[in-house]
Amino acid sequence: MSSMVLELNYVLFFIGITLTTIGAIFDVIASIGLLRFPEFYVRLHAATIGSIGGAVVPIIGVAILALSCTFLGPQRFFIFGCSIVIAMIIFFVAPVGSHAIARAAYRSRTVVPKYVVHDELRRVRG
Amino acid sequence: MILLNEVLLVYSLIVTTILTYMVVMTRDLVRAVILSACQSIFFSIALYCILAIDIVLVYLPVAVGIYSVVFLYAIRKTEHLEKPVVGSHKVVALIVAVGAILVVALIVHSIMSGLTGWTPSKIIRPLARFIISRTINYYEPEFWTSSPEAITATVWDYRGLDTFFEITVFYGAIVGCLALFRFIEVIFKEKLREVEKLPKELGLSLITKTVCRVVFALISIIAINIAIHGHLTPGGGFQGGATYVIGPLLIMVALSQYFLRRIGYEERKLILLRSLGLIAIALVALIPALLGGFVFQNQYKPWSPYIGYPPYVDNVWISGSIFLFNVFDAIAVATGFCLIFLVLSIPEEYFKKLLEVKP
Amino acid sequence: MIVSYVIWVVCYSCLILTIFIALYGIITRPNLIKKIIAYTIFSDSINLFIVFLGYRRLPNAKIAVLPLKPTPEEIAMYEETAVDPLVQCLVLTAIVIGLAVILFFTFLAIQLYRLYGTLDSREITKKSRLRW
Repeated sequence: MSSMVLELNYVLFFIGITLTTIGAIFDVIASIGLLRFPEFYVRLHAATIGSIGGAVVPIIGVAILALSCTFLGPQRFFIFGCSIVIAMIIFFVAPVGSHAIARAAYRSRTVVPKYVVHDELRRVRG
Repeated sequence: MILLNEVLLVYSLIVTTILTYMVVMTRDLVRAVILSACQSIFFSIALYCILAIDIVLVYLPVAVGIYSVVFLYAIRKTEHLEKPVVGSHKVVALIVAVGAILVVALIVHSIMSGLTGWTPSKIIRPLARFIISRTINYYEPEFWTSSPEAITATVWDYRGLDTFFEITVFYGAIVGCLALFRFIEVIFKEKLREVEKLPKELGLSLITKTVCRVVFALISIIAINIAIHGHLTPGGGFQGGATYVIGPLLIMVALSQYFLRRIGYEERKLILLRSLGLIAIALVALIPALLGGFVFQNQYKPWSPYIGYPPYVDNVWISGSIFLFNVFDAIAVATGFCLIFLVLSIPEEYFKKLLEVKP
Repeated sequence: MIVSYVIWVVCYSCLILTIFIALYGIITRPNLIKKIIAYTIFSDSINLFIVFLGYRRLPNAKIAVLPLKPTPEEIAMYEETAVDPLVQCLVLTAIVIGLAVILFFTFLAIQLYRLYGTLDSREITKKSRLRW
């Protein structure tokens, strides 16, 4: 350990690997949740976990990982920039998708919430 | 040797087969369309692993965006559920399945032993070698196209007549589709006039509307980018046009189609723009023939007197006619698809009134 | 050597299985929209098979996109390692033509529903009194 030099490339490499692994774990958790949760709206929450923790976080991890790979040459800055932009776009668009699904399912009465005690929205909107 | 992209290729193809089986066997049609979109995504991963990037840029918006929405509109206007197939004999089905597996094994064995010759090979054909070595060769400029992207150079210069016929087929299809739905504007005009003041209930919620407006601008910029740099990196006219149309589609879903017509997407304007794009493509292709060369000529050739389109203008690399073809083709394709979706979104009651079909 | 052979056998068999399943779907399923969806998968699988013909199994395979001012050594290197561009051009044309045909099919199916009231091919055959 005493011969390990604290270089920026090593630090970035390990941060990138960690974020990508966290993203993979989130994907596994989301898949288990999609299969095991009892109700539609809770399953939708599990799916969005897979979409944000399983897509945004690994892409940022890949961006930081690409900065540390000097064998790619000057292309790695393009990979960094593109990946950050893609992660931001998914971060803004994915929750809107799940919001649209939940709103459509609730308003059309396709899925009636099962474990509900007091439905204020139904009382106001009808 | 095991290449990493081959492992991903195998995985995506296995998932594709399973999803295709589910698409064919399910009775709910909406579920079939969603599964077909998932299958197209895995197909795109397989196409990426096989290093066909131009095709991925075409296939992704077309198969996942355009096909899904067209089929969903068709399902909304027709039936949702498929009637069951009765009377299938299990023994015959078993024999057919075993026979099919034997046929598949035979075909795969003959391919791997060399029936189709070049699969998977380590060398390429002499024609491909010619194209790659001559497309931007400054030292032997007799056959050069001044475009470093070999695929776009092949599409618009070496095999320009193929693309001409492809544009003709696409044009014929759109003309046929619009002809099937003709005379609808006579009845639909009254509804358009009475939806002058758009009520706030049309479309989806405020969150969706706000984000869709921002995403519409993003998609437009990305589509123009893909269309313009088609001669330098993978991209091109059709890719840009097919990507552009997802923007107005999003506006049509999130804010209503009456909003899309209000901001300027009307049928007549789109038909005009499409015709202008196609006329421009024809002009760019025919001007060399009028000035002494041959049709679809790009650069100067020693045996034809036309001097050729300039490869660069003011230090910007344009590669002759390829840039012009990409831009005009993007305009023509984008407006053609927008036309299809505008006509598809007209509600069915107006067509029933038009056809006077007895219920 | 044996692993790469197995990988390619699995690739080809999955692809040809997809073609056969899609063909089965076109023949047996009665709904017209289901037939069109299966036809989409059929034509896309055949296009993918054609792209396989142009692939190059090298560890440093590249796309056929050269730099802007290449030297003769770079052109020779791209000749040795680049993927076939002609095949991808033909598949692009094939995808666009398939798209045009499928759009027209869908519009025809919608018009059929308006005139016959059903999209089941067996009932349309009965109603139009065409006995094959």
